Amino acid sequence: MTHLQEQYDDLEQQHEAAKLGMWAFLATEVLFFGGLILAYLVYRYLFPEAFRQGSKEMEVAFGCINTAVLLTSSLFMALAVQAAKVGKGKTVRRLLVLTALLGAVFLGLKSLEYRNHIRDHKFPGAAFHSELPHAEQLELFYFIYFAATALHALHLTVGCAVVLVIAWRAGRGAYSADYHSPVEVTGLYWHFIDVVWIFLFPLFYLLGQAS
Amino acid sequence: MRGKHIIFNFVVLLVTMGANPAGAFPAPLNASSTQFKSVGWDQKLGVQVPRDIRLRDEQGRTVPLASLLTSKPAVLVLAYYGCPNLCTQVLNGVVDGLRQLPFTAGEAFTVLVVSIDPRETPQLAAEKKKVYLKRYARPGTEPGWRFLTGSASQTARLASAIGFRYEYDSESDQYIHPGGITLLTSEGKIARYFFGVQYRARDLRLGLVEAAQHRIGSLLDEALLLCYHYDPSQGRYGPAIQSVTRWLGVATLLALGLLFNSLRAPRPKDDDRLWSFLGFPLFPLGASTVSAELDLIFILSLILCLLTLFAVFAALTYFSVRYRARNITDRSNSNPNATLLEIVWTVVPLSVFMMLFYWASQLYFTMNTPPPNALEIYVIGKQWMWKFQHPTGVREINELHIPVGRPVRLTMTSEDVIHSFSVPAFRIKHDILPGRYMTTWFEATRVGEYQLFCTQYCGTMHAAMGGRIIAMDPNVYAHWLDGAGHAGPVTSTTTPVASQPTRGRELFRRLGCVACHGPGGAGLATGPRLQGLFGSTVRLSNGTTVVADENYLRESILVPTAKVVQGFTPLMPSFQGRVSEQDLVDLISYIKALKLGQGG
Amino acid sequence: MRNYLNEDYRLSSWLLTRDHKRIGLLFMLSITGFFVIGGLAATIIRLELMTPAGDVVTADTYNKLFTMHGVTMVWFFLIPSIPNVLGNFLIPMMIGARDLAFPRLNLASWYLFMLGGFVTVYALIRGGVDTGWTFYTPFSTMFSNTHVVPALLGVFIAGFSSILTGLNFIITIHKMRAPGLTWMRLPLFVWTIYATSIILVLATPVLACTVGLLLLERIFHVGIFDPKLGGDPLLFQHLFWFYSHPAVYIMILPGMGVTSELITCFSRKPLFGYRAVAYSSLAIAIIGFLVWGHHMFVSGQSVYAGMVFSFLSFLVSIPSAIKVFNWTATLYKGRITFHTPMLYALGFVGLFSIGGLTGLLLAALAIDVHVHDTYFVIAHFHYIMVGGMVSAYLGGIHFWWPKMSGRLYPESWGRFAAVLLFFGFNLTFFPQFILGYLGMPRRYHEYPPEFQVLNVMSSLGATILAAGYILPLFYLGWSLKYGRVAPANPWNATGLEWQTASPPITHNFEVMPEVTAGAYAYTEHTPLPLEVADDPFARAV
Repeated sequence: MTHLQEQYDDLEQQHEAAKLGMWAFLATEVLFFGGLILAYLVYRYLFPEAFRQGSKEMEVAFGCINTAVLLTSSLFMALAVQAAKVGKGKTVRRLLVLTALLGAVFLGLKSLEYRNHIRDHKFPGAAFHSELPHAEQLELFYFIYFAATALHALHLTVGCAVVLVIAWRAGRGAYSADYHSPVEVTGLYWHFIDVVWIFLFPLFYLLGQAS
Repeated sequence: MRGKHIIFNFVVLLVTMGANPAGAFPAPLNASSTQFKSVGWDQKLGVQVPRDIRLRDEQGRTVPLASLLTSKPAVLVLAYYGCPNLCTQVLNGVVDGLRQLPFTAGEAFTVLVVSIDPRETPQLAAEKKKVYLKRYARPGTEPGWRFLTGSASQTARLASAIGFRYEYDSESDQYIHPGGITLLTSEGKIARYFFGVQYRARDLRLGLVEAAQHRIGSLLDEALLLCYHYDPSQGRYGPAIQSVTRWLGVATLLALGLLFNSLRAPRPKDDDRLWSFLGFPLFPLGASTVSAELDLIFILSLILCLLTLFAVFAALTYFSVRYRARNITDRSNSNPNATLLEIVWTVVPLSVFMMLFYWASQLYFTMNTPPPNALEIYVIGKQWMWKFQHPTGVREINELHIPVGRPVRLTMTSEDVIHSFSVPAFRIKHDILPGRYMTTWFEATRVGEYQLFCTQYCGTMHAAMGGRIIAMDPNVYAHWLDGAGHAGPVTSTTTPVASQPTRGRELFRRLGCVACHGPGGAGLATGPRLQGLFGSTVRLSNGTTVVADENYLRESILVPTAKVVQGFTPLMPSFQGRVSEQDLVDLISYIKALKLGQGG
Repeated sequence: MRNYLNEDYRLSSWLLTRDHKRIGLLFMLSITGFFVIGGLAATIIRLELMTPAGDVVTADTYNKLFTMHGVTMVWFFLIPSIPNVLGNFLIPMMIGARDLAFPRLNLASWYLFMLGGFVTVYALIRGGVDTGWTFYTPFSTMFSNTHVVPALLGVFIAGFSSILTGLNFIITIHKMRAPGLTWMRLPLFVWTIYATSIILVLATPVLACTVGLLLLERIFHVGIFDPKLGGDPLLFQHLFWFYSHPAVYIMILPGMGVTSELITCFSRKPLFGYRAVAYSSLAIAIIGFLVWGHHMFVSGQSVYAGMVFSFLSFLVSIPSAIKVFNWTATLYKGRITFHTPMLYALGFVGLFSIGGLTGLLLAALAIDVHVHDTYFVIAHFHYIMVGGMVSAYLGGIHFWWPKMSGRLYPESWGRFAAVLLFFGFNLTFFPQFILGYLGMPRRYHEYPPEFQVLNVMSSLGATILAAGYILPLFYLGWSLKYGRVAPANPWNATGLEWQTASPPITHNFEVMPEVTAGAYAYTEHTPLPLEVADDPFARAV
């Protein structure tokens, strides 16, 4: 069985194309999240009080644990890619399952956090309620928070699914030292999700905590 | 008198430029020599040099001139090899000039040096040739350099054919002759004269391109030739400045004509808004202090655009015709790259357009900076009508009366979506956003009625959201304002109401502002003083400062917590949803009118 | 002869194809459909504007019509036109590859495009949208009662199609070039598609994000853009134009690429200043990202920001000017023939020059204040989009028609249509420049009577223009059955796509090509393009 698709000359060209393709895709993702982060920065500048208040209402513990979880998952992912390069299919599978598991933990914690927000009437829309003077601006904070973190969670969910598929295939010996582009490319994607969170975490949780 | 003189000169200029003179022009050099009046140049551009003149080459063979012109243009130098000074300088000048050219002797052109001294021998000529070839320093170009001698009659024929007047001075045993060289076409026609002892490389280059009938040279040369023309009186290439200035002159006249048209007072029969031609409206007449300048910028930039466009279209058409596949024409040397040319044709238009950028930006600043002491009008846009309010409280709908000759400052907001306030006759336009105040200004210069459009799409009846600006003589305006304010409506849309500050004071009391800000806005411990607030600088609780303008007052009423004055606690409730845009206008104009120390 | 067209006739072989050429044709069919929808809307708009009163359709319908025209033309015709049709068909052949790097992604791109298109068309059928293609807030989120959500959703989905296509092209051009095909030997069409793809990949996500926020605001009533709820409507405009201005270059850059191919081929000359033209495409892509604020000179953004954007807008004209001058210089000392594609290319240069120069007038701050949101702007961008891009698209379709279909089109009909289009176009849009300076606002259902003469001229021109569009549909269709069989290289053009058969086989080349020279290696010995028989009915009868 050959892994070489017919439009390519050789495996190396195919591998390079796959890698560059993922990088280009990640560039679009940066711009995608960039729009949201820009909106956040604009409104943070316009309504500093409300946004500081919003950050204070965040549960930092959740954020910290989640950050740790995601960083650890990235470590396993990096190890998995290394293992794939030397063709250790079983190790790859084990590491990838761990990665996806940690991703699921992140999502679980996040949904607990969401549940708390909704319980506190912090979900934007008709049910939103706050006693504070600038409730509308606070609602805007929560709006951007939910938009950005939900988008991130969506990416992570897709990421988990992809990682599990790759893990399953790795276990069946689909990858070798010659051919492991899918593992590497998935790794890039996973690290990107991690990096996005590294940006979101301080923006929503930490800025304004100090004062 | 003077006018006639200029026109006369202009006609002379045209005539002289039109007729390429084959007549005599005094040569600028050597003409000062009074002793030898007969020495000098007669220009005979375009004249055929007899091709049967017979000369001796370096080996002593007799050759006709025709055989020396081998389908290439020639640089013809008349000199004599024993010459102690001038000839050496002329020849050095020729060699130095030619050394700077991309063309090579023998390939693109021939150099013919002919001795005017019949006593000189081919051996001497051959020796001289070696000297100058060494100076030329391009090996292998010997065939391109011909050092010739000839009999007295043959050299005299040649000299008179090219208008080279010289004399023999028996005292010094020297020839007295002018300095300068001649370019011949491959047929032997006189193409160019260059005088003096130094020849600029550019002159030589362009001269050779033209003498070769454009068979040599690149696109760069062609472009240069558009800008530089041979000037026979100077014997050199100069900028084709006259033709450029002439076109610019015509264009400017046209622009001024159009501008004049847009500025002149309309004749009674004219539509007073548009300038039409054969029933086609072409240009809107201006009626504000900025319209004339804006039109001038527009027309001048339009001319720039047209010139650029003309250049592109002319080149496209010319090339398309000349180089169509079926046309047999010279296609050699089609140099595919010319970085210099590319830089020139990019940078030159850009720098011209940069002036336009500067000028237009400056006017934009003016248009965005309302002058002080302007008449203040409040504008509220809503789907799909305009509401105006004069300082005295007079309100209008879809119609605004203003005096001419006085700046009018508009403070504008929207009740719903984005609108845009546009009066083409005044050349102004500004978007109106909900939730904040926008300002723009204009000063009408002509009495009349002008159309007002909403130019930002705002929903179903967007096209119907128009109105009229009625510019009146100041006295008439004062009278109108009086009538509208006190004696009932002047027009059906005008509502007489209590003046703004009066309504504002009522609101101030009714909304309970007095409780914290004190009677007459004098200030209490709970709320800052409002008297004299407008326009002052306010220090805020976070340490920053802000100038109290309309937007600040508006924000402080609607979102009091946004900017809290230093020393006060944010107690004030939001009035969002409790006051209308109209109420805000009234409140703000009341606060603006509050002066220090004023009673309730 | 086996080729990509006759290899398999089943419908499924088309719907599941991974062949870039077939996908290109799928796109061609679909965008022609969307062009007809947008064109019908334009027809009714021009009909309405024949008289100052609103007597053909109601104000509401009129607003929906121009929205429909804008949305379909921008997102479902212009943006995919050259990249997705000609780009798909040609890029692998031009660089000597068997296919794009990700053929399945390519097919997915078409399905996403169709899905987006259907969702948007559904919105139009269900009653339409009346926001204008710019969807300005707060009108689009809080005031419009029409089907904004599905329309935007369609645009959102089509955006992903754009991203996938752009990504595919970038990787393909980077990694799949034939041996010896260095960057400086690439045909300029490839360069422009590369620049376009960069914009597609970097700008479209911002549109997706913006549209996403807009949808959330409309659905959840949270004020991200609506000032009543604390939002900032200018933020929407900034985000929207950050995408939509580069999108303008998505719409014109590929047209420039096609023009470079056509002008060199029919002048029998290498392109003048190849390097400058190649880099100018990248320059446009980069500077194009920095000029969005020139759509907002009267919106209330600061005057200083206005000045910066104005300056940058002047700068972005440089690379375009370089291209125009170099195309012109390419004709110098060429051997020019005036086949249909060349007529379109020359038309492109002329009309694009007019559009570009009037763009400079709009970039000048004070002038823009007067003509902003008037017909001057309409005329300006139609000169670029229609005069420029559509001319280039049609020129490209004619040029590569023999390669796509294996048939020659009737040359005299082609020339006639090209000339008709040029004159019809100018008659339609030139009067609009004058209308704009006179002050006629855009998106007006009714207008003051003094503007009528020029509007009638414009509408009459539009009928000629329409004829110019309809004609090619007929004779190109006719040629599929009755046209002469095309040789592999009817134009005697250089370029790898002409080295394979017409139509090509599924993986393009029998023998993978190697490249030893730059693009456009035309010399005085290159034979002229084939003179195509002039009588189209000679074979039909």
